[in-house]
Amino acid sequence: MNRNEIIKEVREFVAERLFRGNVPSDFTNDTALISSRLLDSIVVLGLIGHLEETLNIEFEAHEVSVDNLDTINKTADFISQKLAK
Amino acid sequence: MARFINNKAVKLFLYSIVYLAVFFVAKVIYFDKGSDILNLGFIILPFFIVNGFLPPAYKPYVFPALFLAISFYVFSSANAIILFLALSVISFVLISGLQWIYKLIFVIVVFIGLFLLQSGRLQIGSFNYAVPFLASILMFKVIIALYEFKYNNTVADKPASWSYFFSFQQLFFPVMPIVDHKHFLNGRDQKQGFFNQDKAVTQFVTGIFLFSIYKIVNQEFSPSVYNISNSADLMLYIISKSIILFKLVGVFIFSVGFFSMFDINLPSSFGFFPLASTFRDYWKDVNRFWRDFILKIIYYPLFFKLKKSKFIGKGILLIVITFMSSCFFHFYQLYWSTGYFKFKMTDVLYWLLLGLLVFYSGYRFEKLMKQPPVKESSFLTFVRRSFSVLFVQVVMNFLFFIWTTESIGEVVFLIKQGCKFSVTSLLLLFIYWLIFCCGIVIKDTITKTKQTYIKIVSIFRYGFLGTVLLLYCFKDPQNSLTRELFTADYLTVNQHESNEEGYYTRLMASNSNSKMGKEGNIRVSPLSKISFSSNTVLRQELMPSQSIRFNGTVISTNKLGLRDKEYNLEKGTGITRVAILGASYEMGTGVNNNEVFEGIAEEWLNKFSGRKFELLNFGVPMYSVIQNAYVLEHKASQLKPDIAILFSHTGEEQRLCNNVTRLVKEGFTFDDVFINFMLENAGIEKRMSALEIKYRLKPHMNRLFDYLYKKMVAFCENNKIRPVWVFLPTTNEVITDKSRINNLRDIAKNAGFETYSLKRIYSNYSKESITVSNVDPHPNALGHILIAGGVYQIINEPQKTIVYE
Repeated sequence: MNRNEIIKEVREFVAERLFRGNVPSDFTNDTALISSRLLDSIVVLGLIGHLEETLNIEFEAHEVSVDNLDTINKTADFISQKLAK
Repeated sequence: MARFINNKAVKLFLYSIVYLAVFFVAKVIYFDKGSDILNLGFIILPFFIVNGFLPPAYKPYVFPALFLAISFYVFSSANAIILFLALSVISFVLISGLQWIYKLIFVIVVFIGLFLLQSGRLQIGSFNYAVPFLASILMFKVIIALYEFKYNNTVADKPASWSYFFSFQQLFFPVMPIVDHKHFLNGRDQKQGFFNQDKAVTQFVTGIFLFSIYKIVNQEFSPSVYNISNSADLMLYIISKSIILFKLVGVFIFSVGFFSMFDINLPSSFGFFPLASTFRDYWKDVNRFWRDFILKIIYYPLFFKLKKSKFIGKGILLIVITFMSSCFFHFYQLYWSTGYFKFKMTDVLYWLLLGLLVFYSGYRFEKLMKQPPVKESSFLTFVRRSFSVLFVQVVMNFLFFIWTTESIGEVVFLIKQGCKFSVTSLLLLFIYWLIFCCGIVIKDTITKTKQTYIKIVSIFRYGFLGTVLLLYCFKDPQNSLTRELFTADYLTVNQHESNEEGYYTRLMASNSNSKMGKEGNIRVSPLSKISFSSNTVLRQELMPSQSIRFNGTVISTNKLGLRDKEYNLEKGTGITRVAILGASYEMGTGVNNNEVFEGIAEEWLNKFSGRKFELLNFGVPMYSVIQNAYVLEHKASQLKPDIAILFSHTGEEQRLCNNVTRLVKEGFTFDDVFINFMLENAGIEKRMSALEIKYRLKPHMNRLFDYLYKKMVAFCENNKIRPVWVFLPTTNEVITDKSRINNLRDIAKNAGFETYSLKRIYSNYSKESITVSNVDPHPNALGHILIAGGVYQIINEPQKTIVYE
């Protein structure tokens, strides 16, 4: 799975779980999700579960951080790196 | 003009002026208990200016340097140096390349050392006074650092990581939100300039604003726990318990403002939790730094551990463990900040219930997100939201009430007291709902567009600051608003008397004084060091022939177990002996042996009265009239006094009530028929909560005083002793309630005491000039001289009415 596909996957999840499909116009792939408190722990863990299932990867507790998952782009970068390992 | 203002030096100067105004306002409203914030501001501002000019690579050194400078102000030089070195060594080890396991062992050793110092098992001069500060600074930072370094032991920016440990604000606001190491590093502004200054001013002003609301509302609206007789009283009492959150949030936001001031841009520490419409949102917004800490250290690791488990209740288990850990960390925080560990079931219940509510709220959210959005009018949405907010806030107020109550027994008792329905409670609920409706409208208007938000915040920032400054300049002592805003003592009579307890009250009262680290400025009882347990009604007595250093003073006892010089048991001829009966004021807590009023008055009487006097100090901290009656009969009588002076203080009724309650709770058997009959009559039993016992005792207090006073007078008459009752006010004037004092004096007079009042003894002196410190209201040496003057007159010239009436 390439970076764009990962972005699509994450974006779809966020759109569904956060906005029930109605994504606001100012929402971009660089919009802060965790630090802006848009995503809370339940949704973050939901997203991780979803990504683990669809991308067949495994997260570790310390990886759940603003550094790795704060924006869609950051999440895609982190997963790309993880997949590359 | 614009170019001039944009000049760096000019900007630094202008912001310095604004910060000075902020610190001045913080001082005049007594934002910190010691009101030292302006003095500290003069230390902080030069560092702020230097920080403005420093290149980014040198900025991390500002925090440790400022920490050291403030340490010298707060502590003695030796303690400041030890504290700085200790923190430096600990942080160096943590950020070094040492293997993680050795870092862990090192931290354990450090905390064992801190425990020994905190508990007094290990003494390093007066450094023990600085231990709560060191422990408060380290207690969460080491956990966060150890967690992070476990997965990545290479520290990229060592100076920045090092500076993380030197949060200088904790030297004057020990209770501060837990700042994450990563947030701290990510928040460092790499640009030179004034990235965060407006944000810092806003945080300072918001802190002051919330604290002002707390002060005013607390003084206007703080019902007594003893007045709950129906549902409206109970509701008001429950709501009033949450008022302290304004103060707490204010202090938190203010202390985070210092990070912004030094170009460290942290995420916001609080959301609009008072308008949260779900418990999930409430928990998300109430203390974000705390929540992030718990998620990082407990929730996520546990989630990944349980992820593959097939256990059906793992969701609930996860939440319960997480919230119980939160409860544990509160106990842990309380221990390091105050020095005592107090396990309370009400704390556990609060966290458990909050966890379950957050779990349920999350479950509902998940369900809701799977359903298609419901279309309804904006009015209906608003009404639905406002009721949700009302529900969440009422439940949270109730949980906070549980948390701040001493025991579950007390919670049940208070609920029983408020069981009787009152229509007023519905009216209160309606007013509460209206307040939330207004809050929602204001919040929505403010946050509608970013531009509007920035404008409103800017107007608020300088508007509020200017308003308080104007109010201070033109303050009118008759005006209740300015009086309440600019008073140092803002606890109400009820709060003083009930010795307001609760997690945050205890925590914030622990050492929220910038000078507490100095020896002599800590308020603790000397009893633990110089007393022994007694199975009489006294419970504790002073050990004979002892001498201890306590809080910067020397306390010595004679062979009779009195804090006094040596006296023969037999009275010499021509000597008038005076027994001084009282508590800590009379024993002289906070002053040296030669500074106690009893000794000074004795010296003056012998020098100037032309007669010979021996004043015997029977004062022991915590004693009330029930102990003093015993002392008169069993101890003072052995020395054949000619005069017995019983000192009575502000809050004497509450002191006696607390004393009897403590005795009942300890299972003490009174050998006094009247007291036993009174307890039986009041339906008092040991198994009851302390609050219920006090509730039941209250109506009998006058009878009890009457009995004890009459008993003392009868004993005096039989032994030819002149019984004297003296009202000596505490230095805390706010709780001087005329009617109560007059009532007590009437009872004493009626019983046969000569009665005097020294209520104007401290007139013309500020509280600061006559008390030991801001945290210890006992009279200092000057206070004792004033009291000695009054006592001299009472003994030698009772007919003159200068200081008493």
